[in-house]
Amino acid sequence: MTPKNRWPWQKYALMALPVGFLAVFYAYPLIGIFQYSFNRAENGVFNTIIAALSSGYTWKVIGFSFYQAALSTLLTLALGLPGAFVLARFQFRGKSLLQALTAIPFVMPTLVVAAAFNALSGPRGWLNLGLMELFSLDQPPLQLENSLAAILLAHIFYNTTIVLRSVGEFWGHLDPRLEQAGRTLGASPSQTFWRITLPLLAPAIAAAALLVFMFNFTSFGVILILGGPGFANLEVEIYNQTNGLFNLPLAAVLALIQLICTLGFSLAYSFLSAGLNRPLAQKPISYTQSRPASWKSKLLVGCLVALMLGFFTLPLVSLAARSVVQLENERGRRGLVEPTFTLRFYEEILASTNRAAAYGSPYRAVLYSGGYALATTALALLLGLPTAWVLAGSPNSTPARLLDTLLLLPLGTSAVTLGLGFILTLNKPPLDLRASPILIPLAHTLVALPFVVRSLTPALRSIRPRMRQAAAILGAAPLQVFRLIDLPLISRAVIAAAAFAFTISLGEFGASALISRPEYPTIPVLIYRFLGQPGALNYGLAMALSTLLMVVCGGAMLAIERLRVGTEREF
Amino acid sequence: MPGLCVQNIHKSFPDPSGSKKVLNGVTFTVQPGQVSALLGPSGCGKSTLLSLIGGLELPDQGQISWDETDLANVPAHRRGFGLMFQEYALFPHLNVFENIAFGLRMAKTWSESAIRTRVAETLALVGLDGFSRRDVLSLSGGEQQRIALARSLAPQPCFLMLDEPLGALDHTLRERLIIELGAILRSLRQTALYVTHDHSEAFALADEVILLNEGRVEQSGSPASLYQSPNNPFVARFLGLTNLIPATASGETAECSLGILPLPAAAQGPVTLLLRPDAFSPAVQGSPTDRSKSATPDSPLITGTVMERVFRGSVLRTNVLCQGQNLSFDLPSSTAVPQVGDVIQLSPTSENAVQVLGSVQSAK
Repeated sequence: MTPKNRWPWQKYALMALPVGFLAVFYAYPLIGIFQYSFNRAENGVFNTIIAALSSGYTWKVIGFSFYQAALSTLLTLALGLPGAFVLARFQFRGKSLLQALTAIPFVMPTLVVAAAFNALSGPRGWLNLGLMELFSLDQPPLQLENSLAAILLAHIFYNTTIVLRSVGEFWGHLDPRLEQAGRTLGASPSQTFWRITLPLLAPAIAAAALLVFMFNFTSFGVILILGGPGFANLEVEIYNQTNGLFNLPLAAVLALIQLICTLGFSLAYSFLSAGLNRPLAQKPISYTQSRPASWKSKLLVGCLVALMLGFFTLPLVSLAARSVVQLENERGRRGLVEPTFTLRFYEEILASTNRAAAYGSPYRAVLYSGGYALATTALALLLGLPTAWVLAGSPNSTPARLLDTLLLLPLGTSAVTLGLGFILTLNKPPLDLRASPILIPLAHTLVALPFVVRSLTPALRSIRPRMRQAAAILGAAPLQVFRLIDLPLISRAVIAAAAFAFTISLGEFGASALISRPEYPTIPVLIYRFLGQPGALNYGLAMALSTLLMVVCGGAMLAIERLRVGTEREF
Repeated sequence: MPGLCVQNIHKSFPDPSGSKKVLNGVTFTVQPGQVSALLGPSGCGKSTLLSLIGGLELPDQGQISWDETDLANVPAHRRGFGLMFQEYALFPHLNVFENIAFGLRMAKTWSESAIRTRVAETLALVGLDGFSRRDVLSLSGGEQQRIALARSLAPQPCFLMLDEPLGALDHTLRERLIIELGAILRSLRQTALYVTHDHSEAFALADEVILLNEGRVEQSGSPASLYQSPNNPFVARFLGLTNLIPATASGETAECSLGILPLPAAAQGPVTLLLRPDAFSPAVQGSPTDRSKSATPDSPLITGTVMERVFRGSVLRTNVLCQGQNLSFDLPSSTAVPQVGDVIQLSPTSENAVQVLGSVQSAK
């Protein structure tokens, strides 16, 4: 890699970019909001914290955060690990399509995932409509709305791809001769799995599980919409306390608790990921994978592929179908519904003035969201490129690992708290951004940056150091080496990273909900407003906007799959 | 018949262009207490054959048996065979002790104290006493190789397979370990099959050599018999005998680009002649004009120009250009050193200096 000791000041200067950004747009607003909140505490900071911690409700919220996250993670592993096995050890037709399909949910806005499940299994969803029609029922038989099951299903849907990718990738490169060695030493197939394969995969599984756990722990849109008022994890409770009850001191305490937990998860994740660098005998995919040959393996692959295909396609298809079918089901009227095909909702989006304009114009929300996403992409690349370059050059140095952990933190920080911090602290000179539309891209960049860095770093690492040395000997200065060697070689990864940043910005909901001004809503914010309103038109518009987002995100994900370079996959 | 018996094994693998035949009717045996070497170029099917014998894969056709028991329905972990892998496949999550103890634990017949004794015993056997607690990733290449050997020997397998066990090591270490390995296997009277692509390894270690090429056995026998009388040009070339010349035989002599050469036995029609590199020595030096094309059997057989010479201690490897043919000879190093560009004349020093290879061409 890049010699570690030769130009240390350039490296530190480059590291100053992301660190400075995080200091100004992450730490400063966060400290600001904590300060403000605790100043408003009538009984002083200490008593507020004591009061919050001695309240049974606080512990119930903390308990539920852990409980639902643990349960979701276990179920995600239950689906993801067999899937990872199939992807790691077998080649079959349509495999890359399956991989892209399972990855689509990950970049989809939480709101769209929630809407997709709503369209499939909600009270007005296809499953219930079908069952009602079939058995002439008056009431929807599946009561998934506002249930833990709905939350769990959406979380599995959302995060399985993390297990499939990181564990599947690791498994796929695991030398099969280790397993064969176990077999020739007298271990049966199941003993081989438990005593050799599983212990070897353990760090990869633990790292993936931890990441999934962190995403579930801080989940917002899924729990808010699918869980309904009966369920609240920390993130949702912070939102409730801030938005509904204006109890800022309590919200700040909860946000602090969540931040401490997240910090622990991030540190553990960075530590476990470093454990993955153990020099295991890595083998190319072509060596470890084969077509399923025996009928047993054909059956296994067939069943698992069918299961994943069904689980990942049904909600997405339901969503798309729901956006082009109007169910004339007036309020107060029960009985048979007459589904009719319609493009009315899409026409409404295109119309710049419409009846739904009271909640915001969909057409203009699409424009705003596109603009925010472009700005986020530019900003995230500007910061992500130098960051990835530093990380790729010194993978195991302490500053690099700390920076890596630091980058993950915003992912697990309460978006509501951070959003509020933005409003509170970035409203006076020299950073008077309150009225500026740049506020939203800044917040989105915080979320997109770790993904951008993780797409770019493996590609930069895959550039052989000899090439850089050759360029340097031929007279290229460090910056020229980057421009003439690194950049052209990582152009594909740059495009993939850009697609990541773009879709993440399009789908971000938590922070946008707080900092977007009512007259400049983003698409997810508008979807949320529509979902909260009664009537077929509002529901249809929400589905149509969600479908639009799904198509854009799906396209971006396919592009990311195609443009991937290198063999490392962390997300 | 006791020992390992491999009969008419066929195996194909799916391939983008349909299917690729890797083994095409392989038959051989390994006697109890004997070390056999499976020798062949890379891609000849050696590793596949090991997977089949070990039970890691199943043959398309043919039979593998041990002590007259068919192994077709015996899964890998019940065969009681050992396999030492190329690059060793040591378990990185277990330390040295646990790696060696793995097979013993699987057998379920060893008590904890018996396992400790046996691991210490095998560690001593490979000369690494006291390595029990070491992390396998901290070992050098040679140490890993010995631990892998200890791991495969610990459960006392009735039959041990070794897949290019020295392939990853440097030359000097290899030369030392091959001798140690041979001594260990012989001291245990271990029935073993040693896979390699290096004929010098096979010769150094094995009682019998099985030469495999493109999925079939080209020739098998003791190292000496293979080297002294290779069956065909492939075997000769693979064993480093490269002076091969196409010729037309008529009775006791054959005509080729070098002239008419006497044959050790009568043959007819197109044949391939092998000039053994170690069976010639320089005759009287001649002047560049003195080129006798019709040599009599007793006079110098080969006249050529010295192109290159390499002093190798006991012999002088000399490359000679002779009527457009590049031939190389190991001349006794006691002879006067010829200069590059000299014309040299060589006479046979033994009766089998010129051999007729039993190739398809000579079958008339």
